[in-house]
Amino acid sequence: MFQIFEDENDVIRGQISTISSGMWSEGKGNLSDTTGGGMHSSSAQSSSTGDYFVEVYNKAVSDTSAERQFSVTYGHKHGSGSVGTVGATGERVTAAVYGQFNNLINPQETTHFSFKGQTKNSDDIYAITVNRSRMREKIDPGNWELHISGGTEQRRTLKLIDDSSTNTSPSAKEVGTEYNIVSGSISSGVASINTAADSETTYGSYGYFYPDIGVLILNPRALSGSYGQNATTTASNTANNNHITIFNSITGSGYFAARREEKVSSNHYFVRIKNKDFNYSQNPTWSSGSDGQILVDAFKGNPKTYVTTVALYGNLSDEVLAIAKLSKPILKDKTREALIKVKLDF
Amino acid sequence: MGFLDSTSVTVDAILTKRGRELLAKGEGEFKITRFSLSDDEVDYGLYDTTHPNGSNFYGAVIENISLLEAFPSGKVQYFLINGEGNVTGVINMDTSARTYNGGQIDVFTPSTQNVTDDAYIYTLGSSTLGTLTGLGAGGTGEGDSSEGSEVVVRGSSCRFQAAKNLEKDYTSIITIMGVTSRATATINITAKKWTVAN
Repeated sequence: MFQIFEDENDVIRGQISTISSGMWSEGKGNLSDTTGGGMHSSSAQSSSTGDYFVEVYNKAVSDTSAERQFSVTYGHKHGSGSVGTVGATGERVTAAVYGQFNNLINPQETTHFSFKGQTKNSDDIYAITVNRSRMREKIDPGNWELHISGGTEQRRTLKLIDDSSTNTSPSAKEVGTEYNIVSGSISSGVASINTAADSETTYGSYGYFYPDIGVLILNPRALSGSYGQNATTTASNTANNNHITIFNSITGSGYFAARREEKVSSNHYFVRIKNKDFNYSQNPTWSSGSDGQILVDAFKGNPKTYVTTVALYGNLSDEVLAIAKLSKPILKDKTREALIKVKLDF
Repeated sequence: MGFLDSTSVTVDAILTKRGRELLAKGEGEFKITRFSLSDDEVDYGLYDTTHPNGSNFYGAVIENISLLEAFPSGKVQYFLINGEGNVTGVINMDTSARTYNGGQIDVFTPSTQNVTDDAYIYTLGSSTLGTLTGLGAGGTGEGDSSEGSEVVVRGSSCRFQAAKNLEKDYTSIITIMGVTSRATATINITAKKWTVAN
């Protein structure tokens, strides 16, 4: 038998709640060696698209449960650091990558990236793109921290976060909100910024963060200039593999903590079970399939049932549209009423 | 003096395959307006009226079961119903297995013992075998489903027409359920591979 919901009293539609969780596979919050499985590259990817980017996995790719987490790439406005020049053979990979991200992120007719604290155009960028299935709707601003290990001369670790904790009016781009990437840490639970983006006047800020598309654009000058951990090489018509260099710097630190965030729309249905209803069952252990007689003597004159499942229907057909199971059966008889709140997320 | 248990039960529902289809279609077809309850997984044979701790514990074995998660198929087997006396409804009809050639038509006209059912819900396990049409009072006409999915119609009777041009024999079941009684009967059916003789 069907019971009809009273729309005004029993149904709450479109409740929005924000859910955050660890961004990496299996809900891990940090892709470190100890807790998140570490960071691994794939030789198969390397041999196919490896000139363009390095894809980072949470486990060795020989493990069948390894999943893509993020990719790192390098772009140069004029194609330096990759094979090929204008009018010559060669893929000009870094020029393609620079143009790709410039086209994606910057307003029309913008030719270069430029970073906060310095008006000078930047001819090159590093980009970190988080896999769509990891970030889902967006990366949670203010809740990620990336470490980049120092170079051979200065073995310091650069800790990067975004400035969403202090940046109350972030820029709005076509691809969504833009925050600055700054040096600092969130390890104490509160964002601690070392230097504001505007104050990074020597090399410019460390980059930009686009939570809605899961992209971090890093400023190569700031990385190599401030900390010397990532010597970017930009020879003409030469494969300098800067994307591999930044990959090594990131895996050298082995620390990329991040949360993702998504808005979930929920409907709530209040299933009100009155005392006189649902006290009989068609369960074959409750009543006989041949003559309908109650099989349990104790139920005769005082029928009892156990509720285990709530099936939800539309008014157009008798097909079950959504279904909910209780964790344990609920006893129902003529002296008991029950209220079950069913939550359906979209 | 102890505290009263004021907790209410909150459960998470999942969309069934059909629910996802309707949601994807849009056009306002996904709107939940009704519910029904089931006691799937409960074996009432475990209700023990000889329990040494008394009547509060007769159902202890059942009440302590950890239930399985919901299935996306949305299949519900046994429904809780309203009733009177010491009986529930039973479907009266021949439930022997049936075999159909391509295009062959059959009409199901069930009745219910102990309870009055004005209409029945008919479910064909797979639309590959043919079409299902709800007839008579409350008849919903020909069922709509994606290829190979379940077909559900309602009516006082129902017509099944076996599919033509099948490349092999297909077997499925038709479930017949009284709308009021929720009594069910199942019939195994086979739709034969299409041959020239058909």
